[in-house]
Amino acid sequence: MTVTGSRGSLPEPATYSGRFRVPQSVLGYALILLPLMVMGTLILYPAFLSIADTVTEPSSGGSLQVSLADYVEFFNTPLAVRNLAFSLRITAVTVAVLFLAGFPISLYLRFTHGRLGNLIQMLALFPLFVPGIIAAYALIRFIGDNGWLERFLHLLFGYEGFTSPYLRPAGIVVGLAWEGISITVLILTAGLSQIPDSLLETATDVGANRWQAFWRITMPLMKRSVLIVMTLNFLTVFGSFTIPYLLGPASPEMMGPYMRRTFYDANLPSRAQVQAVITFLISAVISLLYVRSVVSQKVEEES
Amino acid sequence: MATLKLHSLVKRFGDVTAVNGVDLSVENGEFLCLLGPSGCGKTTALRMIAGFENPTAGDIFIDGMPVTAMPPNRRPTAMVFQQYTLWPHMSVFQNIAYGLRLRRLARAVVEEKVADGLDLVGLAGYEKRLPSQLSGGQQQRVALARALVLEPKILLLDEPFSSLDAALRVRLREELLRIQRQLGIATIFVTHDQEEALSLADRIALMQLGNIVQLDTPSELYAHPRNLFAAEFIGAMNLLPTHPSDPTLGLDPRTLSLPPGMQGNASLTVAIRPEDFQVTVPSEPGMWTGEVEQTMDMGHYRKVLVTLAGASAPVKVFMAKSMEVRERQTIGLTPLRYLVYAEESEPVEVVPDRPMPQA
Repeated sequence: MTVTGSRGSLPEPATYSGRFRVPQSVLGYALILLPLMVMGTLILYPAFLSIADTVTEPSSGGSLQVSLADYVEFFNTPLAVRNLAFSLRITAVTVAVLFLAGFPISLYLRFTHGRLGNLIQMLALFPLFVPGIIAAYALIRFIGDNGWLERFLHLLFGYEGFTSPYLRPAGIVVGLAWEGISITVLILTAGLSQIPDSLLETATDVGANRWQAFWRITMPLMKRSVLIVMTLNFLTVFGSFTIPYLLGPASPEMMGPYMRRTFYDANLPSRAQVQAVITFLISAVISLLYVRSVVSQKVEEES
Repeated sequence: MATLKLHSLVKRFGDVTAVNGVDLSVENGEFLCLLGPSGCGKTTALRMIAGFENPTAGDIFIDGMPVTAMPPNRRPTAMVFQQYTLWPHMSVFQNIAYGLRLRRLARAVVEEKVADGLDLVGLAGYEKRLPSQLSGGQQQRVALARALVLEPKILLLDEPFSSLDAALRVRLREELLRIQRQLGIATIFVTHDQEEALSLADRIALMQLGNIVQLDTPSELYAHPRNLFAAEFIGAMNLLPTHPSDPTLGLDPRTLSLPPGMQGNASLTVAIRPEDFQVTVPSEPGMWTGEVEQTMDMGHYRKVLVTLAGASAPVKVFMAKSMEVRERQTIGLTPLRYLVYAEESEPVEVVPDRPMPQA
């Protein structure tokens, strides 16, 4: 490009010239194009194919026709229904355990400052940095038969009646609770730290005791964080594989291991597909709750 | 209707002493301002009165009753905070009613008191609004109503208007003063804004480094600041370090009469309010002569910065707008009234036309 000008001006950068300006919206789409393409080709398209596969069957003429026969079959299989109910039950218990364990820790972290608080925070975040499979094997050594816990109980208290949760439903809950405690504490602490001291001090100033201030001020203001943490935990726990596979019982089993067994061991990919779609739909309903609470927060903040 | 007494109140946070032995008594119906720069301990003192901080030492009495060990929810005080004061998930009505409901008052009584409270702060009809639907000024008014409906013996306010814009601040100040007079409630108002303190308070407790430096009426505090900190903090003030036998500081000893007892002092500071100069154009012999560096129109008066020969900083002079001065013009200044501060003694006021007081 040659620039001739009486003032000896610098060449204008191309992006600023009126003719070549790229509209902002196009630029925005361009930036998300790559991840969108990956998501579309590797996740959405195969997912769509699978879902389509579960709701169709070949008709006598060779063409495809819509049919829910696969789903009817799923819900008529006692084992499948039992596994689904088991997954939901384990998920509900784990989500509750995580909340009941995480909330007091978060409250402690929010309202105290000092070394003990830092130590507890570190401990609470530690599981975040341990891969699930390592945690699972560590837990087997710890809570398994003749594991550390059993031996400690015997040595320290002479307790003999220990029943290991390993390969029992409780084993899954223990493992998933270990995995989920970090994110639970993180989210709840973040939520609590958004409540200014003055809101709680005002409550005590007008006559509320700590308990009343907690129920009437802290809890309502934590509603959204609690919802977010519960939905997130639900999604990770419900769809989990490693921990239930390694720590849980062989039957009933959670949807993750069940799908894998149906797919590989039983070699019934089309049934595994149906199991996957049902798992996905339940997760999608919960995701919707999560997305709604996050969006409503954004809207509120913007107003 | 109540009185408040602080007796040798001390608060330490680790090595830091926030409040260092404060004695104070607030009379029935009095409006007292705790004034000082940030970090002077005024908010800590207020928080101890409210019960949010436990004093390291000392006692607090309300109506003669010790309340030092009482938790905030039992104290007959009510506080309005600087910001984030309303509970965002409750309506205006619920915010104000919460304290009343905790007292187990009948529904009809609660409704009546909330309505009265909102009336008092000029927000009748706002019951159903959420805090996010109110402006900052309205939120602070609701916070005030919430404190007042509890009929506290002492009303505490911690810079309640500092996050509002200037015009609104002035209006709310006037409104607060009206309400305070109407209810006759003893009030302690914390502020770092000396103008706010001067305009509101019956008495001002000026604080510095955890101590009350001076406790006086606004006019006394303005006219006779007890030390250099008070002199500099309250209103505009020219502080001119000087020495009786050293004319090089720009103050000709011929024209500056020092009290007889102070003339032997090694180090003196002369404090002159900008409005206490008489300006003469052109300068005449015996006056301080200086050059106008800058003039500023302040509305009903003019602020002029004058460089005195040999002085390190220009002096501020407030003068009537009827008199014209230009920048770079040489003018004469005659101090009409000033205070002389010597180290570790009370300041002496000098009015040149009057007989010199003894230091």
